[in-house]
Amino acid sequence: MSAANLLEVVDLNVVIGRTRIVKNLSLEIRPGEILGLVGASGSGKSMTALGIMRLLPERASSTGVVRLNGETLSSKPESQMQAVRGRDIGMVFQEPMSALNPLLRIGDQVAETVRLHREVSDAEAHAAARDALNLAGLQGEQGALDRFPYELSGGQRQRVAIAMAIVMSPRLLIADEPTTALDVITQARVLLLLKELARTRNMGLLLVTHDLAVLAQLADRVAVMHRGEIVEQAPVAQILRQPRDAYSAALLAAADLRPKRSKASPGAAPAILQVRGIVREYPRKRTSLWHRAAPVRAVDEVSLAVHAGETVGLVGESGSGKSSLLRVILALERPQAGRVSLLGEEFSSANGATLRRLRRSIQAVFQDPYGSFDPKWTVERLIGEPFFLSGSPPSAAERRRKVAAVLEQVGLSAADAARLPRDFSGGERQRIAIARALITEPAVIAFDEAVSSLDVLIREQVLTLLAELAERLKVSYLFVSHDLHVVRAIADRIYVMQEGRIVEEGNADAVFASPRHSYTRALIAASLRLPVNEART
Amino acid sequence: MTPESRNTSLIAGAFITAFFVAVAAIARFWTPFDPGVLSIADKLRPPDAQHWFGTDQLGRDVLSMIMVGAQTSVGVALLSVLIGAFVGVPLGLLAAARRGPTDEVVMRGNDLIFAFPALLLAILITAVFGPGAVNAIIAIGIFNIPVFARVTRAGALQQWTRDYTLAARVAGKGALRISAEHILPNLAGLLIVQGTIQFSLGVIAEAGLSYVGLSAQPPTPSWGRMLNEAQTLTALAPYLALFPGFAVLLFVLGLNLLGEGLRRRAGRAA
Repeated sequence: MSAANLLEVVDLNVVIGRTRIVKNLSLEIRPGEILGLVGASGSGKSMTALGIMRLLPERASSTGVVRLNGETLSSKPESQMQAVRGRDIGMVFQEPMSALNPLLRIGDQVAETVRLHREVSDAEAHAAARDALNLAGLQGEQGALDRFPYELSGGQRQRVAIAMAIVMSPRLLIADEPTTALDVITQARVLLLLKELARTRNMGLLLVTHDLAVLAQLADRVAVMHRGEIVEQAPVAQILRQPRDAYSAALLAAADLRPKRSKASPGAAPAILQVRGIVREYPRKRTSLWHRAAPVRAVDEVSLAVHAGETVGLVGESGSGKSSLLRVILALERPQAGRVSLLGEEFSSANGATLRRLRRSIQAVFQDPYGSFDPKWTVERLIGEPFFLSGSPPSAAERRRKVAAVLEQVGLSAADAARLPRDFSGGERQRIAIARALITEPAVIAFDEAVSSLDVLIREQVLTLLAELAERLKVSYLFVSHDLHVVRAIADRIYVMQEGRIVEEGNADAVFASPRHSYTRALIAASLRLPVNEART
Repeated sequence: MTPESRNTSLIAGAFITAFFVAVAAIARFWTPFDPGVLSIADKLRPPDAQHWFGTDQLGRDVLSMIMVGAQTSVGVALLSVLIGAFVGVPLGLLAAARRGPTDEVVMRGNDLIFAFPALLLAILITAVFGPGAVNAIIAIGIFNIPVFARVTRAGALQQWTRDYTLAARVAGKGALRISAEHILPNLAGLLIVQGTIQFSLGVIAEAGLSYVGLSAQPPTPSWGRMLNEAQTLTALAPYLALFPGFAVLLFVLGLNLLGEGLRRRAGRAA
């Protein structure tokens, strides 16, 4: 145990009830070093971070020794621990909105941290807050201090959270999935910021994530965590080149995101879904009694096509209009202009029986595996819900048989039909969502960020399943995501969307190899890659 | 489950509530004495082995009157909760499903009703239609409508943001069907808790209305009127005010404990 270590964790154990969440975990971080703690969800990595901070939930108990600069934290009383948090150890969480108080101006929030730890005047606290916000890349002079969290974007909020964490110049920063909720471009900026902070301030950084790609360009060393234990700890280059543990290798392969299938030749087959000149505007609040405000144009004359047996990717940042476009395509909202035709029939303005008949041919899988099921319905009832679309619903026995068949198609068992959604993990829920989309035997399935909330291993499995189903069932996909690499792994053709317009379109590999639009280039540059990825392709 | 997480308020509340409901049910078929029969010879007897709770100034058995009073109390409160729920819940679902102008009209209409205190509303109604248990039920029921409408709307708006409503729409279902099949079942817990709370408020409101003579009319016994009549006799026969007073107190306490316990259980399950 060298004195040079900033943080030393020796034999940390965390127990909730009778389950051991973290088992005999030991790690060290030197000043200025970035240690990545990587593992699937449920591997105990967040509990490790909370255990170091002594912020574990009440039901949990921990043993082991945590030392910061040689000072033992694990035996300190809570009152002294409060002084350590924020002053010596800063922490950044995944969800930037819930980490900020919605009713406090951001300058006041950051200044509050200063005032908690130091006897300072209001002006001094605010000056420190402005400096921290500047460091975090939010220009404090331009009135940013007076803004409320809801006025900021997700990336800006995460910068505020980082400013709060670094305002006291802590020696150690713990970041728990700090960029998972952000889009690729913002993610790249925030990660760069964290790296600079660690280097310039000689601050130790413990970065918790499920994605090895996040760590590839950032971390010095990586600790791989599996079922509460560290299975491998090595310099990042070594893990990326030659992981020694089988689980690390699996994580690496999953983060790699290799193409899942041979690409279909686009354009040869007839167009199943044809979208022409869609405009979708949302009204804005009146600014005065006399003037109606100009509406927000979320989708601006977008045209696209999905051909039979083809997988089409639609890529764009959050706020680029992808979701609005998808709602129009699914005929959940009506466009102000333009048409959607499905199997040669007008879909966007269809009504009644025609609408229901056409809906059978297009189904959808949504982003949130937790929100997309009624918690009170059994899996059988959930998957059978689209049967409502058929004019003559099948008999109970027929229905059960079909649900069982489709459950087996997505890799679950027929016995799962009687269970409730809460019995399933996130990845299994997305399989159920896919089963629900398959039950009407549609021609097209739309995916709205369907794998974005899954961790890398599960994402890999779901993408492989989707590729397999597309081959076997000859179904077309419209795959909407902010993550270019995910889309590339599955799509034959890609549309890139920015500010409501399609800015680039083409064969997936061609778009990747030689992007024509500057925005596409920015997206590709920002998305995280493993260095091995380039070597292999 | 650890010992401190045992839901004592749920158990205690359910027990007390069940006790009063059982008393009210028994009173339909049997009471120790007929509460309608006057017996001046036995007037103002303090509690003894024959009359457990004593007799009032007209010689009626107080225990029997309280038992029948429980029936009035449970009946009025329950029916008024049902009126509130049957009108308020669909209004709340409608407002949340339609949004826009429909939402405005429904919710501002609710505000209008809310602006009148329940007692004032009851006085207004009884002034027009005359006093009586039925009019008390209507008055308290109308007061319950906006409460249920608001709770339902707030819960439903939250449910509408969930992706499963989108999935149901992709399955071709309309707002009405989604409200009935998805939204309402998911609000059941919330509404049962609110119903329990409104039940206890209804018991208090009924006691208040009968105290000022606007609920059930003589000879039907009611707790509020018993309190009113006992008021002038407190020096002479304090037990006359004590027993109905305790009945109101205990019943309302039980219902509140039940509501709190149900709320905690729902919170844990979520």
